[in-house]
Amino acid sequence: MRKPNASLSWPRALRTAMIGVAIALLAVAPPAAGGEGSASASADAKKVDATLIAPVSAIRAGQPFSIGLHQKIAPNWHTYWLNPGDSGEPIRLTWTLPDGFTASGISWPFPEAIPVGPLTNFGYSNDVLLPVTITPPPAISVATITIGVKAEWLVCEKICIPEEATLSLTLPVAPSGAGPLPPSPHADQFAAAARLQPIKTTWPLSAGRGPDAVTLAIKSTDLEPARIASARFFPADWGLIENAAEQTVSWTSTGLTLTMKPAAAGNSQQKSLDGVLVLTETLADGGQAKSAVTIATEFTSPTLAPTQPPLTLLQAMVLAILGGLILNLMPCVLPILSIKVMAIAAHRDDENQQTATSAAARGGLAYLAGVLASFAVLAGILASVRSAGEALGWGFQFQSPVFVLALAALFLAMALSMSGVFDVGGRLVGAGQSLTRRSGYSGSFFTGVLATVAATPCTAPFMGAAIGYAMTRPAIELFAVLMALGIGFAMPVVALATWSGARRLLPRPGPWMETLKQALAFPLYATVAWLVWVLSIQSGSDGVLAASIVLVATGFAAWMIGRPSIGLPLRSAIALATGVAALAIALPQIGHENPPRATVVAPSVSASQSAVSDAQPFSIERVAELRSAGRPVFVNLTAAWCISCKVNEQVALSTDGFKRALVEHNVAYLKGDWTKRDDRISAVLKSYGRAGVPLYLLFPADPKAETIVLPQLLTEAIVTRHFAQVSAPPLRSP
Amino acid sequence: MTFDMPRFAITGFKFASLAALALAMASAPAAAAPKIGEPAPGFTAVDSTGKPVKLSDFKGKTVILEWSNHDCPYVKKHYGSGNMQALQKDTTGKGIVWLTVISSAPGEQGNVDGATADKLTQSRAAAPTAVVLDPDGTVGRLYDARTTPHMYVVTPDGKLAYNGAIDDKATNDAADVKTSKNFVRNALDLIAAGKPVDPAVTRAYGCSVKYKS
Repeated sequence: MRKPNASLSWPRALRTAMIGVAIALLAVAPPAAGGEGSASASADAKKVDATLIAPVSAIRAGQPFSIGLHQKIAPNWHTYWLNPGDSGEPIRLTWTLPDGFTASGISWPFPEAIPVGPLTNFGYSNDVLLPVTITPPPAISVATITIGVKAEWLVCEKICIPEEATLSLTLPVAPSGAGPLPPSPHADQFAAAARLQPIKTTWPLSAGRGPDAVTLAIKSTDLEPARIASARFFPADWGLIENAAEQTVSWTSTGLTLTMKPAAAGNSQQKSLDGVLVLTETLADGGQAKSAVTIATEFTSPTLAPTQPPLTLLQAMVLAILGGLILNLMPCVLPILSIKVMAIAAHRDDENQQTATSAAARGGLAYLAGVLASFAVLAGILASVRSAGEALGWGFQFQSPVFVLALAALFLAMALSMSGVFDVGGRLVGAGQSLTRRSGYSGSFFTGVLATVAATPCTAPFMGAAIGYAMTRPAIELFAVLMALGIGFAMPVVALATWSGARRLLPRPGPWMETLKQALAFPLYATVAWLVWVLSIQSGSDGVLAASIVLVATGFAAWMIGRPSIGLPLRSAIALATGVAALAIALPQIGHENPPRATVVAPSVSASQSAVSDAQPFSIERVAELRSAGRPVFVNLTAAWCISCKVNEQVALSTDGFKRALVEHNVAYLKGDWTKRDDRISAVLKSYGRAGVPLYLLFPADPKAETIVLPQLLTEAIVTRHFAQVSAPPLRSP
Repeated sequence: MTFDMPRFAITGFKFASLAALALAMASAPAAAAPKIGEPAPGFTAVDSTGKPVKLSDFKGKTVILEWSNHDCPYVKKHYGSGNMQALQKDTTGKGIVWLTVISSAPGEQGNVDGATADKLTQSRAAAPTAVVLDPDGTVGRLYDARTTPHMYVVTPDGKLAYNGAIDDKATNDAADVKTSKNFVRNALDLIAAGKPVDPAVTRAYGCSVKYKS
């Protein structure tokens, strides 16, 4: 069985030239009813009108070109894909080629599922173009060549009729040379058909096959649950899955899993899952677009299907509680908690147990309140940002260099305090009285806040699945899961504080506490080192310099506060002044967003990301600047997680024809990346009534002329046609 | 309290199994594909002469089931070339039972009454043991028959031995019959030789069975 053509070779081979006048196709033979038998019976009422067409009007020796069988199919009738499904037969082409010419297999466009009673077939309706690449020999001695094909197909509505046609196409041979072949009037048709070709994916795929399920897992966070309206896998081979059965999409924290029903009677020999996955994506304007990716992946678990049923809210909450518990052990959290635990331990043997217990319990509850309040704030931010169409993950605040720097300074101060450089008094480190003092409650509350803040960069086991679930659910469930996480996280400390029995498990207070406290400063120092590294990625060497200045200032301020010989007001004033000065120097260094980031999102669908790299970054100012210089501007607002954007970029915005059109019409190409939150782009989208990408704008050079909004599904032809409308030929120097 | 628990559990279990059963039954038509080596699903239907046909009546004999729709181009391929009739004569001559099953619903292509079915048998010089009329599609869905033709072979002990296409050339071109490998003959030969049938499952090709929707 032939596999769907995995590469995009033919659209690339398709060189739509902007020069030359189209020469009419010399001959399109009428469908011949020749040959034996059955086909002639339907000659008067053919269900399919087939023609042989090419996107070029001449060919050249050694230069491969496309040719295709175009079928116009009567309404409600269907012809069939390479795997026709439960019945039917694929379209077959048998070529008659001049000497030395070779023909590739059909580049099958992705099919649609056609239900027939309890069965399902895979095929086409209304209109389909089946492209084939013809490779001529290195030398041709004749002036014209004729390519012939015998096309046979089965066309079915309820009943099936076999039809066939013998077609030919004669094309002139252009003199040898370089450059694109002249286009024919069918060039647009081929360009439009390129959208229907499955494209290669860089997504990591895995497939499993078990007695109850065949699964396909796509590991990619680029896939947005909110954008994917549906997903359907079309197998290249029979006997693998039940064609008519429903396919279930489930979302995990790592991507998408498609669960399919194994074929009732089938072929157990297949070692891999081959076919195409058709994704229906909801576009920003509410419309839908289908695109397909080629799937070819070996079964990883031949006997055991990794069926991962989607989590329920309850399961997610249980996982969140577990994850929260484990979060306590993370290196960035443990030192902070140890302070709290030591404070409790100090009261282990208090004489007045009654008072100590109730005070400790209140402290514990204040801590719980601090943790839960912080998690509530996190949930609120995540939910509101998400409703704005943005995708943020756990630990999103670490995207802000200012936040990272502030946290580094705070951790350094705490570490220095634990090392004994200074004593912040009875609040964080003070051994115990704070618990019995009223001010201790706010101290406990803020310990909870601090612990949560420190915990956010960490992910504990079980947490990933819970958060992944929560991020795809309504706000109320997101909130519930994050609250469960907070409860799990606060649980150990709350248990110690409220339950005197648990407190008794702690060792007696003593000099060991001081030693432990000082030792635990080092994980905090390590955390500071890590945060500086994060800054180096976010803000480059300037960020590291800024961090160093602030950290040195923090050290100085800590040392100053720790000098008992100087009066407290003076110490505080000096420390404060140092801090302000350091920030004044440092913030401008990191205030501006640094373009190169380590967390660059990997190219999703497109393997040829570099092909569109000749675009300049988008800004409104740049558009105005270019227009005032007399150039039309084409703006592509895109995002790594937008599949339609990637397909458009591959089929329309990275082709040679597109690049030529840019040059020829002197159009400037700007690209705005909305992968990460970008308010300026959001504002542009909003002003054109869009909530998301893709958005393609063409600004004519004349600033008074109306901006042209291009369709969300592009072809090279659409783009180049619009470019021609706003063309501003470059000024030539005399 | 403690002795209540088992009773409660049993009630729960009963309820759950009932629900599961109901669910299984609801999805039965699509799910109940017969498995190779397992008992072929039993059925009682009416043949073209109005007589009841019961699969279990043929215990001890090999049974061939052929799904048909005389207007389907793929059925025409095998009847037009004489391929199907030759196979029918060869097998029924050896005491094998051949049941041609028509699952086309009323109003759909291939749906015939008994008299027309007999006329077709006569005009095509076909030689089935009986033509089974299945306008409700009950037998078809029981066997998960998908295309016309779709062939099944049941061994004398009532087990399914073959499920799939008539041969390996999935076309509607009668000229291909000569050069193709007949999977039904292959299965019968292997059964006769006491060997496992291989291939036992192939992709049935042809028109879809025109089931009642």
